[in-house]
Amino acid sequence: MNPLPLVAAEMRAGRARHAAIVLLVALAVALGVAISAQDRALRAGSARAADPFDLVIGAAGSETQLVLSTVYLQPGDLELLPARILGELQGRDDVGLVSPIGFGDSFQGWPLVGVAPALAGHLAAGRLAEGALFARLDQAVVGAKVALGTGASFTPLHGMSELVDDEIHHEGFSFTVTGRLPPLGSPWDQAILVPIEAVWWLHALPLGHKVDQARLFPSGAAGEPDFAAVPIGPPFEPAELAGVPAIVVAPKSINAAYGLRQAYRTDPATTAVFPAEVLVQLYSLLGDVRRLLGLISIMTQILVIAAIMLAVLGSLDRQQRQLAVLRALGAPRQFVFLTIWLDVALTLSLGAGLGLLLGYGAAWLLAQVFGQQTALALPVTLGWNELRLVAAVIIAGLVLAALPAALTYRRSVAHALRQG
Amino acid sequence: MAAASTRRALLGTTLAAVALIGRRRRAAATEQIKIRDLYRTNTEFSERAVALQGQRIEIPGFMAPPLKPDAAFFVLTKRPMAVCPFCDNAVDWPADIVLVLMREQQEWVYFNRPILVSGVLELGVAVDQSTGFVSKVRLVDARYELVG
Repeated sequence: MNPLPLVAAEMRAGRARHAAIVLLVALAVALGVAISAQDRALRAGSARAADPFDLVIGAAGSETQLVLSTVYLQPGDLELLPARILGELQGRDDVGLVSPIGFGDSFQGWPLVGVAPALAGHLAAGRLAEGALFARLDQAVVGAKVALGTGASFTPLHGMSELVDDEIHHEGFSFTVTGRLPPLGSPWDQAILVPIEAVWWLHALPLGHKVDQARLFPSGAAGEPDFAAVPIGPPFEPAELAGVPAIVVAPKSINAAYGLRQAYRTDPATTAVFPAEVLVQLYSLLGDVRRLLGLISIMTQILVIAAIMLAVLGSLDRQQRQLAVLRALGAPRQFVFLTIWLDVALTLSLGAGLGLLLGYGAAWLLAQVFGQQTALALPVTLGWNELRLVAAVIIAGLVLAALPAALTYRRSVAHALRQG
Repeated sequence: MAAASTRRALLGTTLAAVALIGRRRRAAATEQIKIRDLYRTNTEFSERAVALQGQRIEIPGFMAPPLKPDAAFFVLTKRPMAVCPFCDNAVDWPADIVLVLMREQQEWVYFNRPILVSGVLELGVAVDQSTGFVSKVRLVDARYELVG
C-alpha cells in the first residue's frame, strides 16, 4: 500500500500547521547557514583585497592603521616615512616592486592615491579594463567603480570633503584619465590612481627626480608647466625625495619578504607588516564570534526541533482515531508507521532545505549592504560547512520522525477506537 | 601535602613516559631533522638533508607570521620570530627557513607555539606557481601538530 496519498491529504488538511513548522525549521537553519557563509565570505573578500599587497612599510606606529589605510584605503593619521627608505628599497635586487603610496586629495569623494606606475600595473595584473597606464604627471587611472570615462579630465580637491570651509581646489591643474582598472573587489575600485609625483607636485614638494626647470617651465616660471619633463616612477633621485605615508613592496623570495619585514621593524623610524598578519588576527577574532553565534544557532535548531516534536506528539492524539479506523479496515501497522514518519520527516526536510536557501539569501543581502558601505566585495558561496549543517538537521529529522511513528505503531487499535 | 606532591610527581612521570612512547613511535615511522641540520654551510645542504630528499620527514620549529591570509602554506623557522625584538636584527635573519605547503589548510597558530611539521622534503630553488615567491627548502603535502 502506498502511504503517499494519505500523507498528501494529511498535509493538505493541516496546511497551516505544516507551513508553520516548515517556516520555523527554515528560520532556525537559515540563521546557522547565514553565519557560516558570511564568515567565509568576509575572510575570502578581505583576503582577496589584500592579495596584491605583500609587504607594507610605514612610519613607526600602528600596524593595523597602516594596513587599513593602504590596503583598504580607510582614512587615518599616518606619519610620513623618512625619504631615505624609498631610496634604500629601490636599490635592492631581491625586491620586485616598490611603490610609494600617497593620499590626501580627492575628486567628488573618490580618493586620489599617488602610486608608481608599476603598482597600478600590479593591481591590474598586467591587464587594464580599458585604456593605458598613466605615463605623465597629469594623467590618472581610475578604479572600476569611479564614474569617469577614459579621456575625461578633472581638477582634484584638497582633502576629502567638499563641505569643508577652507576647501582648496588645486586651481589650474587637471588630470586626464588614461585608463581603468579591472574590478578588484576592494576599496581600490573607488580610487583614482595618479603618479606619486603628482601628489608631490600638488603639495609643492620635491618631485623625486632631477627635473630640468627650463623644460618644465618653457615659458618662464609663471607660465604653463610642461609635465612631459617630469619622469614617472622609480628610480627616484634620493636627494629629491619627499616623505611618503607608506611603501608597498613585492619581495621576490620568501627570504627577502621576511628579511625586509625584519629589517624595517628593527629600524626605529619604520615598521613593516604583512597585511596577512593583521588579517589573521582579525580572522581569529571573527572565528571566536562565529563559534559563539554557531553555538547559539545550533541551540536554536535544537529548541525548534524539540518544540516541533512536542507539537507533533500533541497532534497525534487528534489523528489517532482516524489511524485506528484505518487499522480496523485492515491497513498493516507498517503503513501507519510510514504515514506518520513520512509526514514529519518530509516537513522537517522541507524546512531545512528552505532554510539553506533563506540563509544563503540573508548572507548575500548582508554582503551587498556591507559592500555598499566598505567597497569590499564579499563572495558569498555555499560550502561543505553549510551543506553539512543542513544535512545534520535533515538526518535528525528523519530519525526523530520515527518517534511519533513508533508510538502510533505500538498503540492498540481497540484502545484507540474506544478512546475516540 | 606530601601525598599530593608525590601524586603530582607520579602524574608527571606518567605523562612524560606517555609522551616519550608517543615520540618514539613517531620517530620509528619518520625521521626527524632540525632546521639547523639542513645546511652544511650557508648555501650548501647537509649530507643528511640530501639523503632525506623526497622522503616524508618531520621538522620541529615555529610558524612565522603569515605572508598570505587564508593560504595553505606557511614559513617554518627554527626559533620564534619577534619574541625578542632587541636580539633579532636584519643581519641575523637566517637563510635557513622552510616553506611548508600544507595538504589542506590548517588553523594559524601564534608564532611562539612550538610545532612539529611532517611532510615530504624538497630541496633546491623553486618558484611557487600561485604566489611567485622563490624558496629553497620545502616540505610538501605537509601537516603540522602542536607540541609542548
